[in-house]
Amino acid sequence: MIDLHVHILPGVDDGPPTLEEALAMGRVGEERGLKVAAATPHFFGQLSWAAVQQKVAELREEFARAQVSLELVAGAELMLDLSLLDLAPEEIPTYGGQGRFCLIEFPFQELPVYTDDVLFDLQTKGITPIIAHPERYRGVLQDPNTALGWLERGCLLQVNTGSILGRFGSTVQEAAEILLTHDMAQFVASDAHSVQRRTLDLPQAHGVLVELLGAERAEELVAANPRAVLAGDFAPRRPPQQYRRKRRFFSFRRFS
Amino acid sequence: MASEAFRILRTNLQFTSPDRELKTMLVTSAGPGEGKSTVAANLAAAWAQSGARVLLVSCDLRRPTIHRIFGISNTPGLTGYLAGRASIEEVIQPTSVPGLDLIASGPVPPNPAELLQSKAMGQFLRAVREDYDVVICDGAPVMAVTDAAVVASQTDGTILVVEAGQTPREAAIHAKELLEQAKANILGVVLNKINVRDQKNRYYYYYYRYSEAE
Repeated sequence: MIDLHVHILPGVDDGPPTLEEALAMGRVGEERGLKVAAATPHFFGQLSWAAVQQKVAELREEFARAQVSLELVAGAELMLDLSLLDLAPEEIPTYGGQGRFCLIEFPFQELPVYTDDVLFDLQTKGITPIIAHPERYRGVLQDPNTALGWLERGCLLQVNTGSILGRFGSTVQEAAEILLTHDMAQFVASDAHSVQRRTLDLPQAHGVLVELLGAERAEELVAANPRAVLAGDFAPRRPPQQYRRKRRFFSFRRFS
Repeated sequence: MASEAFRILRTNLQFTSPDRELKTMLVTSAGPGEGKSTVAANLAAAWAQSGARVLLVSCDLRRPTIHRIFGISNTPGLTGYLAGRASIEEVIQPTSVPGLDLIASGPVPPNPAELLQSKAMGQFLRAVREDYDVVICDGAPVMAVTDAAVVASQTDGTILVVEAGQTPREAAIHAKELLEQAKANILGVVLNKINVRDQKNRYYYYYYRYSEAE
């Protein structure tokens, strides 16, 4: 299994505050059968991409020293922001520094008017945006088909394990399931921050995904598709389907 | 059968404007799904097979499809060029049809109509008409957005694709009016997806009809 969304760099963002905790996270992932984790700290300009890559290299050395076998890949979780327009392609964090795929999050409450401008700008720089946890955004909660617009633009979607496991409440869980069952999401990742609260729980989520979607699609979401992204060559195979809201069974009664 | 129809369409177009130079053309339709991209691709291929150097440009920036017909990449594409990120040479891709090159749409921009009426687009059309014998633009549907009308006004001629038995009569007429308002030079209408078996004169083997626009 490959986890594309992990806050594991010590003392960089709201992930593990110390090296000890980062190592503990690595051990938890290893025990649960995770092979690769992309270190994706929040990126809003304080730390340059070069500095992030340096910190990943340092943590990789610490993992080797502590005999933690979890493999680390450099990445970042970009915040949708106009400042991204000013960055040269090589200054924008992409998985493994390949310049092909980036992880980007949106504000939860409202989509900024410049959303499409930033996505387009990334794409013209040769980078395919992977939108983090769409199931948690208000627009998607109100209408899951909002996600179709992003897919039509050539973006990809990553659903959080916590959403599938119900940790963000039943509405977010329902939205996550809609995105997954309608083939709107291509990846599931943990968005882990620690060893207690939000952990490297992709293996647990995998079990739920097998029940929801069957073994083949579950494997794509947690292994095959992330692997293709890290190899720099992924295109979605399954065409997304539009979600149609189900009529409630007794909804006619009110009018009779 | 179909390739024969497209050869005839090509010859008809050449015949229609003997005096006026016909180098850049837009293929569009009233609504989506009427087959304009397929018509544009086949017409471009038929032209290339006659020995001309042909460029097919996907100007449907909102719903790019033509790169899939040829199985090639959508990026960087026309929008990459119009946004100043790539040169014309970088966005031109060869196809499996000899003599036919393709420019894909590129990433979906936030402002398609603006990009299509930008100075860069004008420069682009001037540049490619020097390098190619024929340039065929696959446009967005006319009724949905202004994109196609914007391109129509910058090309030598426009071909309107109408789906037999599907495109409502009013829609086709409205599309024609919109193109005329944009000062498009409407070359004619391609009646697409005719069921040949329904026709009385079965020996008319081509499945489109070509008519002079008034």
